[in-house]
Amino acid sequence: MSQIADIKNPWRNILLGEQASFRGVIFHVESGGRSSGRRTVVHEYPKRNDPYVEDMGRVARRFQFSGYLVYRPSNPIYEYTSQRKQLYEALEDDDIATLVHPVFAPGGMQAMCERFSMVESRERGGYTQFEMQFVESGKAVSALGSSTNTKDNVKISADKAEETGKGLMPDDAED
Amino acid sequence: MSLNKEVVELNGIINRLLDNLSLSITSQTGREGVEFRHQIGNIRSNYNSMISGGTFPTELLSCFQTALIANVKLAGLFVVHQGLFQEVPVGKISAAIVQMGILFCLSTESRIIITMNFDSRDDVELMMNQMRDVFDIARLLAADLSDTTSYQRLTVLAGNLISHLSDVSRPLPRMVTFTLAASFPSLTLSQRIYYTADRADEIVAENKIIHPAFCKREIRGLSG
Repeated sequence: MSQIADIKNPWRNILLGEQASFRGVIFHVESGGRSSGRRTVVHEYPKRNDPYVEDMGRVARRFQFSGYLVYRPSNPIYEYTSQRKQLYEALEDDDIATLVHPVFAPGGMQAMCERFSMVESRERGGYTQFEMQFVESGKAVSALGSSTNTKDNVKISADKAEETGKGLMPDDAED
Repeated sequence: MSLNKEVVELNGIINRLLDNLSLSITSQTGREGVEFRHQIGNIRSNYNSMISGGTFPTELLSCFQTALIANVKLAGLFVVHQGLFQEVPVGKISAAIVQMGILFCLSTESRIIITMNFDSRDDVELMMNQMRDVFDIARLLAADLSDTTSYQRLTVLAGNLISHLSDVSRPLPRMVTFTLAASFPSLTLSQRIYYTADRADEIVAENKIIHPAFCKREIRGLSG
C-alpha cells in the first residue's frame, strides 16, 4: 500500500530532506513560523503631514515551533522518555547551538532557545508537545562599530586589482 | 611583434594617460611631487623599452603609488579614469594598457577615499553614487574585453568600497533644511539649532551667507 510520503513533489522533498533538531536532539514538527522585519523609529513633526521613518536595522529573526515527541514501540529513531529529557535539557542548556529545520533553518543555523513549554496531557498518553521559540544568535559586535575592518578590505581588494592589472600585458609584447 | 604595429596607437594612449596623470598633481607637493613628475617623464621617454622589457606595468603602478603618497586630489584621478574610459583601443597591447590604467587608477582612488573624512551622510551618499557609476562603466569595459579577472576584481573592489562608505555614513548626521519664521544672525541660529554658538561659522559656510548677521530664513545644516 502506498503512503502519502511516496507522492513526490518539491515541497515534500524539502520537508522530508532533513530532520528538525536542536543541539543535535531531534523532534517532530507540527507547525513552524518565522518572524522578522525592520526596526524603525517614526518621526512625526508638529504641523506637518509627512512623517519620516528612520531605518534602524533588521529585527532579529525568531522561529516558533510546535513540536512533539511520540512513543512508538521499538522506535528506531529514539527512545521516547530519554529523548524527552534530552530535548528539554538541550533547550535549557547554556549558550547557542545548531537549530536544524528543513524549511526555516536548512543546513542548520546558530540559535538560542528563548523559551519553551513542555505539555503532556492525560488524553494523549505517550505524546509530549513542545512549544519552542528560538532567536538567531548573530555576532557579538559593538553597537557603534562594525567588527570587520572595511578599510582593510578595500586595501586588500585594491592590492588584488593592481596585481591583476600587472598581469594584463599580452605575452607577445615582450621581446 | 605586435608592439611595432601599435606604435602610433600606443604613443597616443600612453601620452594622454600621462598628461592627465601629471595634471592631477598640484605645484605644492614637495619631494614626492618631484618624484612623481620624474616617474611620469621616465615612462614617457622609455615606454617602448619598458613594454618590450616587461617592466611597464610595474613602472605605471609605481607612478600611481607615488601619486598617492604625493596626495593627489581625487578630482585629478577622476580626469585620468574619464580619459581612459574614452579610449577605444584596437591593438592588444593598447587594450591591456587601458585596462591596466583603469585598474590602477580606481584602486588608487579607492585608497584615497578610505582616508577621507566626511561631515554628513549626504556627502557620503554623493561619493557612493559617484563611485558606483564609475565602477559600473569600468566593469562594463572589462566585460566588453571578456576580461573576467579584471571584472571580478573591480566587482569586489566596488563592493568593499561601497560597504566601507555605508559603514562610514551610519554614525554621521544628515543634512536637513531648517525653515525659520524670521531672519536671524548666524550666532542666534547656531544657539537655537545646536544649543551652542560655536557652530555659527559652519552655518555661514554651508549656506553661503553673505553677512552673518542676516541669514536666510531657510537654511541647510547638519541634523546633529
